[in-house]
Amino acid sequence: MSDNRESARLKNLERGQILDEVTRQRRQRKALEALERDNFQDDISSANISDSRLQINKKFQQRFTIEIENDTQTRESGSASNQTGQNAEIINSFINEPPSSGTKRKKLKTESRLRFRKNFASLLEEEYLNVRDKQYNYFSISVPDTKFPKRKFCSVCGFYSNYTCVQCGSRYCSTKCLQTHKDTRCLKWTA
Amino acid sequence: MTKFIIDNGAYSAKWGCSTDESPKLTPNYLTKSKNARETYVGSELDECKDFSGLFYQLPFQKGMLVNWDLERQVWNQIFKKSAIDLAQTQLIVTEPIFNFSHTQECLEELVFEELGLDGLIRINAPNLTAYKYLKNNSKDFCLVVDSGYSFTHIAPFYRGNIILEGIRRINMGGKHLTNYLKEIISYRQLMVMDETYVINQVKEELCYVSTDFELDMKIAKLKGKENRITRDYVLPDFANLCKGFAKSQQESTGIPLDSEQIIRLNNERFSIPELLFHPSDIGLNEMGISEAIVHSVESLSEEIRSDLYENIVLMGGNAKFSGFNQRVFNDVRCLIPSKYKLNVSTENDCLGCAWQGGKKLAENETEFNELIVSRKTYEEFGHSICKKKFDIIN
Repeated sequence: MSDNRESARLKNLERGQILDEVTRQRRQRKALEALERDNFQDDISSANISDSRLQINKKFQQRFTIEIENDTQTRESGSASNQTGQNAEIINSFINEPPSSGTKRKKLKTESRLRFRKNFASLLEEEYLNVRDKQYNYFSISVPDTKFPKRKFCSVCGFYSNYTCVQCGSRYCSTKCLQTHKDTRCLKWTA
Repeated sequence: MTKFIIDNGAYSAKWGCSTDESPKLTPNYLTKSKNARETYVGSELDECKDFSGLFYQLPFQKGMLVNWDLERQVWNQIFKKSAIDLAQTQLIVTEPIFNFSHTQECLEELVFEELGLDGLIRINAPNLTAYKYLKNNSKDFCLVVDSGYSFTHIAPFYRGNIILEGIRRINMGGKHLTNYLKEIISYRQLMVMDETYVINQVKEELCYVSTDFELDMKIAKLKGKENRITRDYVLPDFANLCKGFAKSQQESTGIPLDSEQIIRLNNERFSIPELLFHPSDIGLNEMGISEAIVHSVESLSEEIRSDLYENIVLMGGNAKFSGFNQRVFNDVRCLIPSKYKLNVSTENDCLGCAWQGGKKLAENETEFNELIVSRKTYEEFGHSICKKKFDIIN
């Protein structure tokens, strides 16, 4: 049994696999992206909500979309489609709420734009298209690269380092730190 | 008519009426506790007793307001607490420099159409600080360095107007420092990746900006009593101990007493805030604060440089690190010719100074009325009038 239990990472280490420049850069970028995260863990509490509540949430979403569909349909053709109307009613009865009135629907509509959660990437893209011909904008004020040479620190203990790990390019300062590095980090999370 | 000011930072919102003495702070996010299974909106966090594994939900992403559902909840709480009549309120609210136009439109829509406020001034936080600084010291020029949660901005001002050529942004802020400290402790000592709240407290209590990095590095290498940097931090267990604390130098032995759980900080104490000055230490190949200050001023005309160097103002949460002011001074002094005088000052209240600037603006009737967009005007002209009035580019 014990023969089968071996780590691919350690095996690669023994074989002396060396990471290429592209992979090293990707690793670096990933490390930087990790610093942007608000939470390391996943949202446990929402995952633990009982199934029934999750279902109701889904129904809510459905109702919301159906309402908007209804709205556009009434406007377009003047008569609401029977089937979707029925659907909405069934769902409404399911969550024991009276069918939403016109004012509520209106409120939902005005809120919809704020409610609409554009993610950062799409906002960034939109902003870029908006301002790219202006001299000063969000993108132009970002500082340029530093002129000072890079300082090098041991990835294990944090003091100045003089050596580079042959395999992955991390820095280390002593054989002790190198050993720790190889045991824990080297070539990890590179796949 | 009430004048209400919100300095809407990504991590904490500073708010209050213009008649208040100082702003109140509210966490500008929602949190979920792991064990109590409860969601806390903004300042409800005070009721929380167990901060382990706290899950954050921030309306801001990379410093930009993205999630309006969350922001609305925090704001509702703020307005509820302040007990003001929204229809009779004029609001000053801050935004990051070069905010996205979609975000700006959302803000205006929320303020006028949903909340029904009477007037709005949308302005940058450094602008308010500069306003206050220039008025108090009767100067014409100043350079504001705002180092916050998501990023650091450097912005030169002339009589309350921002000088566009000199604006710089460094994508390094308090969040990155906390996350990096979390990573380092998790690798070297104890798995704390989930404990953002606790590690943030560790950072605020123990980290400092080194004024002599080489020397501190040498001291940190020493063993025993000679090493005056190493400190032990007792982690809270949220049963007997609700808030962690740092031990004094004598008590920092590296050996936990009784049931204590400690982490030991050595060079981490100063190499973490060091990222603000050398982002390249972790491979982010950007200029640090000092270099960017010089880069910003050098891009402007020769005549005004000396005025700017003489009036550097530091603000934002990171300015609370001890040694920050001295370090900026030392570094910039080394980088600029000796003919320039250099003066770096930190606002007394790093977090509240933008709010104080807003208060000062609200007290000045004529300037306030010049800037404000009333609901009537908004209803007539829409977003375009706001863009015209508030945008720093005309």
